[in-house]
Amino acid sequence: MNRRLAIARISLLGTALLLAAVLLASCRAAGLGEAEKAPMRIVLIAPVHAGEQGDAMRLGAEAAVKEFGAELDYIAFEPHEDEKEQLAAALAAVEGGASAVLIDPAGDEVLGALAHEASAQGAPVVTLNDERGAKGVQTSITADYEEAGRQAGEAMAELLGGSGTVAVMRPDRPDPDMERREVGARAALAEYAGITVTDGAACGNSRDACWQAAKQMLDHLKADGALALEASASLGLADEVKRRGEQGKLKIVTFGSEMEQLELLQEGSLHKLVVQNGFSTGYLGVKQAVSLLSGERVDKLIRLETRVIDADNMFWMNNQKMLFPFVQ
Amino acid sequence: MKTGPLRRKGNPSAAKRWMERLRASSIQSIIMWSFSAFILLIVAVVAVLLYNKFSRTAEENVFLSTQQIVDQVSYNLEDYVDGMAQLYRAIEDNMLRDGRWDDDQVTRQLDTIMSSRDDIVSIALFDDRGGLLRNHPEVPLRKSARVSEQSWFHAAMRVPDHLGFSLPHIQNLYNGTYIWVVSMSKGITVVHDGKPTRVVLLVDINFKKIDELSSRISLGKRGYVYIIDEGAGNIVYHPQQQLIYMGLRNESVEKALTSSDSYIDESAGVKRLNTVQSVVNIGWKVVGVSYLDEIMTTREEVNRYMVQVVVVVLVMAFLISMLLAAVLSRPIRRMGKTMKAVERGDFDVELPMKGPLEVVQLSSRFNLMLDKIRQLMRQIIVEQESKRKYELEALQAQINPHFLYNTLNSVVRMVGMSKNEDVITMITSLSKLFRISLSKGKTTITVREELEHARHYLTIQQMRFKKKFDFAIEAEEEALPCFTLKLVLQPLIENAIVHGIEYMVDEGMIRVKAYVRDGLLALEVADNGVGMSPQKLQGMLVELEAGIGAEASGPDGGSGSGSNSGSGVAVRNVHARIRLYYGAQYGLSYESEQEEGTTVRVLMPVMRQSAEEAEQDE
Repeated sequence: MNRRLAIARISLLGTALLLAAVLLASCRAAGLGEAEKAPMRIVLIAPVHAGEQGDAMRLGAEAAVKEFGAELDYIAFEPHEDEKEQLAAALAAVEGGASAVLIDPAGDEVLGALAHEASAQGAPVVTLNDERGAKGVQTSITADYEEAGRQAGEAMAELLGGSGTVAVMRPDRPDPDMERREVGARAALAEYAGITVTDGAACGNSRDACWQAAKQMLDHLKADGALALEASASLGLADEVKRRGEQGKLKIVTFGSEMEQLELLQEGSLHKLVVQNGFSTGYLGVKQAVSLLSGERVDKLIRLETRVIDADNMFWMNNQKMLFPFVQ
Repeated sequence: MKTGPLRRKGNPSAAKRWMERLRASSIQSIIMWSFSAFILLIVAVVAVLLYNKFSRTAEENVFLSTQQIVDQVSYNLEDYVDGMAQLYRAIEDNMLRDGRWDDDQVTRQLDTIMSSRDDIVSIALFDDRGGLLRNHPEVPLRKSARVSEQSWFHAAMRVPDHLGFSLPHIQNLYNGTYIWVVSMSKGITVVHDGKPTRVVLLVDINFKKIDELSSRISLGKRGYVYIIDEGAGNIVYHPQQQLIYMGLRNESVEKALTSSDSYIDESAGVKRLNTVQSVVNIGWKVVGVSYLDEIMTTREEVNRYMVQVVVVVLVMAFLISMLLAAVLSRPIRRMGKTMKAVERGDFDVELPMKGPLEVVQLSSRFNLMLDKIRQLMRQIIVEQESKRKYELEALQAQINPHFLYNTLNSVVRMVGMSKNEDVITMITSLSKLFRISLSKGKTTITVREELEHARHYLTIQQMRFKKKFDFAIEAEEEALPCFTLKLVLQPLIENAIVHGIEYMVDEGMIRVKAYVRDGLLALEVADNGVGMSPQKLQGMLVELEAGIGAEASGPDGGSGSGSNSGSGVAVRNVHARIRLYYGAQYGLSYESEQEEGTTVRVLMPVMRQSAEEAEQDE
């Protein structure tokens, strides 16, 4: 009788203690669980030959990760590196356990391989400045290339006063985005009866190569205006125009907001720039990636605004804000 | 909804049930549960009070600290502006007073200023048409720079002698640099080459300085400070300025523009506390933004912590109360166990005298009680033994050999005298006498039988003493069915004959009466014999009282101890038996007067049942 009572008492006490321990442990565990949420690691793979556009994207992405509490890995490339290195870096990032990958792909193969690898790992891929979708690419943030081309065409027509010959400098590789720019520009110029569009030259990412190409083009062609689809082409073209001492004679309209382009614009070697904002690209890219990782539905495509600037309006407040990343 | 009144009606009965259950439950659980409930109540009240106090204080703190931080930022800015104003004064005093700005001394002074202030990007002096007069560092002006179209130039020309601050913009005066600056400009009139000239002194400060003054300020986890200009509400500084410039983020400045104090802003979907402070002399407003839901988060953290504390305290309280209850109720349980042992018949147990005061007192009482019970039990044993002994003695008295011998002698004599009638009467009486005496071993018989017994005895004695006395038996009808101890009257009658009648000259008279008076049954034997002197009567009574003590003290105290014959012993026996059976207040009493006679009265309670039936009933 006595022993049974003692056993009952001890067991009751034990149960109470166990209960207390469990309660305390659960409290502690819940507290820890909240604190330990692994931060999202978002990898931004810069475009090859990125220039200032890449820096602006990086700034935007940094602002976004700060806001959303993620981590950013920015992978940049040396000027001599190209598609192959970008692909290697992208695959390494996915292998390294990236939560999401933002990429401005140098080519189809890069995007295809990366998207394949990333979807195998379950990491969403966001393309920047590129509309080429691939299987495994969840969303794109890009300017409307055709619309940008149209804006460039309009600007050119305005510069030429509605009549003249326009030479187009295009990249030496197939790039659907550049083709869309050309399509837009040609469509806009086609509306002006006095304007003839001719094929000018093709060059890659090297300023010198483009200079050579421009030289040959201008040697053979009597053009009133030149439309450079890429920044490097515009720089080479401007170099050649300067060499010839014909600044301002040849009206040059191009794309991009590189520092050199801005200088040339103020010098009068370039006349109109169609610009887009790299900061927004980086920021929205990270934002989309965070949304995807949180399981939200996102738009397949986000279109960014492009704007035509010239030496006169480049310091207007709105254009300043777009052209010069705010250093913070 | 319909269950509402029902439940309300149900509640009191549930409460009552609980109360009943509580009342019926053990001391241990009562102590345990009430103690736990009490502590729960106290802890809950304290927690709620603390929580309320805490959340109020937290809210006040947020208001206060936001206000303080915003004030601090605006002081810093004012301080900075004051410093800049001093710089302007210094430049005016040292360089522009005599209207010369291009000698070496001025260059040295500007060098000193520039090297001591890393926030100044450039200093420049323009004439009233925007022509550059002097700048430092001395780099050529960009050809495309249109100074007269700049907003700071307009501001300086419009309001001379006022230090104006522009919004942040890209410095676009010189080649190759695209720095975000805030331009300070002031229109000054100086005497140059003998004539007063309007000049504009421009100092561009790196926007990073403003950024540094404001960006490190945080209000809570997510709160921040931004600066707007009072005129148009343009954002001067914002921690996410680029996002705002890109239109990716909005700040609702309308209310901040008109307000000069704190207000709650809910435009972004969350409650935010905005605190506004104007910066004098510069036309800017500092706005501090605190997220009120952070207070809620802190509150929730505190809440969680409180719940943890309450749970821990409760568990501890429960354990302690369980322990306490066990300690307090252990002596009571021990007592209960001891009592159960007593109940089972083990009277030799004893409670230990330890534990709390009340328990010790209770234990001592219990032990005393147990002691008394043991004593009483011993007494009962002794009394029972006495009873049996007296009964045996009474029977022995009945079958007294002398009585039998005398009676039988009388019978022989009567037979010799051929008094057959008398012989029959005598033998019949004797036989009936014995039958009643035995009466199947019962202790009590009815008064009727007792009187019958007395009558037979008297009949026999009357014949033996040759009608030396006469007798009469009177009984009230009410008394007849009452029960009495048997063989009470016979010793008294014998006594009356032996001491009262035998020495009388005249014929004696013995009256036996039975009646009920004042709820008592009285049996009376009265004779008209010699009686007793008061001394003798006193002696008798003393002997009667002493006798019972003597008889009770030992089984052998009896027969030979009295100074009188055996009948005296028998009378004492009667007295002792009555008192043993019915209690000390009953028994014999004597009334006697010399030469008049003696009356012995036996008083006992009116019993309607025989002793055996009464025992069965119990």
